[in-house]
Amino acid sequence: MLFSPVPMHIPDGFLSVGVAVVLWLIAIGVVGYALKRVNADVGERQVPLMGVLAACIFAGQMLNFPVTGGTSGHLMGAAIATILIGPWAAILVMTCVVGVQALIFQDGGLLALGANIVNMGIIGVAVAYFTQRTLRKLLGKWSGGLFVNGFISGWLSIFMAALACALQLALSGSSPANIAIPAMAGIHALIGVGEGLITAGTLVFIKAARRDLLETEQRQYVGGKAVWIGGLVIAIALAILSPLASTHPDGLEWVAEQRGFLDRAQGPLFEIIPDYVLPGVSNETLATILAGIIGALIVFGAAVGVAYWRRNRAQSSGA
Amino acid sequence: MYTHSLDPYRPRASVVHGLDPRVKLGLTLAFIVTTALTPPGAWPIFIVLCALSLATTLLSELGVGYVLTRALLALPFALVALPTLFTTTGMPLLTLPASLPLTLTVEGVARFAGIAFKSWLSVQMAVILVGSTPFPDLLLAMRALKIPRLLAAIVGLMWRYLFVLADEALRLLRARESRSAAAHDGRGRRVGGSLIWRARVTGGMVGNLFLRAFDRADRIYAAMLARGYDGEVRALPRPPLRAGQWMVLGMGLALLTFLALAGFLLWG
Amino acid sequence: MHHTIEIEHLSFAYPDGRHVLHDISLRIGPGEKVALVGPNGAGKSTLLLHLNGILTPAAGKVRACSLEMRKENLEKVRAGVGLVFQNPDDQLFSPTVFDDVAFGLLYQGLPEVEVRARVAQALALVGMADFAGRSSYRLSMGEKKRVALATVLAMDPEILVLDEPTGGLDPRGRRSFIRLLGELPQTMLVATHDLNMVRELFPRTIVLDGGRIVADGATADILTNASLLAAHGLEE
Repeated sequence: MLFSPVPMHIPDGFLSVGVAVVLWLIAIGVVGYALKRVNADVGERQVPLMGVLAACIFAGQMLNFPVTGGTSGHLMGAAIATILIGPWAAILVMTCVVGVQALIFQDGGLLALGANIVNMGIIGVAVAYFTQRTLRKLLGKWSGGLFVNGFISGWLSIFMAALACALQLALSGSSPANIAIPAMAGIHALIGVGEGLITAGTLVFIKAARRDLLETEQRQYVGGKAVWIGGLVIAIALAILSPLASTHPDGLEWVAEQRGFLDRAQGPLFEIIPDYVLPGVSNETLATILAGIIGALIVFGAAVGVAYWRRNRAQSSGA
Repeated sequence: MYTHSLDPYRPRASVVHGLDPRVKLGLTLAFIVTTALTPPGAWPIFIVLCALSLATTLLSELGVGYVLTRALLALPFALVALPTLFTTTGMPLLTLPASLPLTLTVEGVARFAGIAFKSWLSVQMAVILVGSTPFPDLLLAMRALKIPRLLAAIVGLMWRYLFVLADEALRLLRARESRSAAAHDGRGRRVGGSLIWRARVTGGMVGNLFLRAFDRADRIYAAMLARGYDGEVRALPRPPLRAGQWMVLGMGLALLTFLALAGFLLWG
Repeated sequence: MHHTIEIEHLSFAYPDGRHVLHDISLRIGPGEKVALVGPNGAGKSTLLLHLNGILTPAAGKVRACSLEMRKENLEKVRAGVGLVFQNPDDQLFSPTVFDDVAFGLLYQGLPEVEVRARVAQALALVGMADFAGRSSYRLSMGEKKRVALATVLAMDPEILVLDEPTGGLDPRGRRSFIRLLGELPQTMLVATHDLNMVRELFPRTIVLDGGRIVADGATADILTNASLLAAHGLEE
């Protein structure tokens, strides 16, 4: 019930090392800058608040409600976090949420953690912040503005994060772009409705109970302009890239290979099933059999060794 | 002793439990990186990695069934890789009936199996790590890996209140369910009404959770201030790694590096 | 004077304009054990938060350990006044019991050896010596209350200020916690609804209602004054 509420946490094994490393570097850069901003901007009071909010988003993901056709609405939380504590602190909170989900609950991989931080933390927050600031200007003081703003920013943050996720999978050769992108987009357009509705409902509730908490909404964040532009650029880039990539399923991999994004390890993926060749053994069939036997022996030996060792240990501790 | 169902830690007296958390975290990360780096065709390397993971599972005394069940939780994501079965060009293995113009290729199967296998190996090790290491030790290990102090502080607080808030969330859910049993709520509206209405109810629950979180953060802040907190996150220095633990770390890293290199040289 | 609490004409209002405390004056001498009683919303918790400078008075003066509440004194005041909050889940915010008890000591700048020794000592004092490595969420309410007390005892305070120490405890937990409090030598100001504990432990009682002190005197007199108790919602 708790695990993978949003099917967007990429596990290990699905990203090529090159893609994973590049996304880790982006994540470290942006989170590092966010740390600096948060240290400089906001008071020490924010530390417990960020910790409890992270726990709260995690717990909030347990609360779901049926949308339609077997899907249920869940919370990713980037949009709510952004509106409550501003973009920089929200990036840190989302980073911690995604990090703990990966490390403790295996919801998303560790090598893939950089990608997941980029998708749900950075892209989710930047897109939400861009949407919220823009819509606030457009909608002004209209009473339904908060609901609409919450809905659209929640929906868009999920949708864009899903597009980014699909692109990364396609770039890694784990899923063909012409299937992954429309599929992820379709599913998350629906899941996003849940996120949008919960975000909107939550904001309306908070406004009724504690108006003062949303006053931060009016505050301009230092460096907020950069996030606004970042959100805009990310949204446009994903909107253009995704349809392009999905019409050229193999084009994406071709580009990636040309640019050397995909490391050499990815290469053999496109060759014939590997031949088990041991150096020094000329006969291929023999080598294959040998390799199989050696492998089986290693597994067997390890298991027997461990079992033997444990039995001895149990006996000596029992004596 | 009270153990929260969310906490993956399972206390045992195994060697794996006894390892320094820094060694465990370091080796787990190295294992995952090695698995990722191993070229898809290098089955012998995968067999060795599989043997390592099996041996660690047995050594951890967590129970093979437990580790496997938890590792399977990550499996649904493999769905996204399913299309590779049919879209990878190569030797045709099986063509579906004419109505479905799909061809299963040997290469496609190999690619899909490689992805799923790598994923499973990685999750398996991560499950053992958190099953055998209590969270405070993991936090210490993260700090040893130079996670920024502010992030470590947020993660520490998050973990502490995760259970408190998760219990609150469950109570809210239970309250919603017990009221949904009636056909009408207090104001005579149909329960389970429009989508917007359901969103409002759930939004109210989440909002409730957030409001309590804000109040709690204020009280925690006061409790921190009362004990002299000055905005800087402080912690005791970490105890040094013992020689034996260094050796385990060194040997483990050497073995994994060797495997990665072998895979790269022989099959890359 | 050390080990004393002195409050003169303290008034306080929250930023939203709610007046919570009006013209409070009181003096608690060294070693005195005083109970603070009154209905919910009387301002008890707010008053306690003034005693180590977490809230700043709108008017009047607060002195603890003979130190004025001023920015440059706060560090010493917070070391001298141990404040235990009502809900131990708010006070125990660290991953382990050890980290929680060590928290205040780290901000006192003590060397590691001293920190470890003091944590061990404080945990032993409250009977929780074996729990140092535990996570706080795994403790029972009674155990949490004890650890919360240890977090301030470790700082070796002159004055203990406790908010509802027996709230939420079952009878056995309450009994053993009262015994523990009875053994502590510090000056004490304790906000509580538990009049039986007041009778047992505290010679002096202050009654707070509507943000004002309505009675201050010997517990024996106040708890037998039925009309006073009834007027302030304190009947048993």
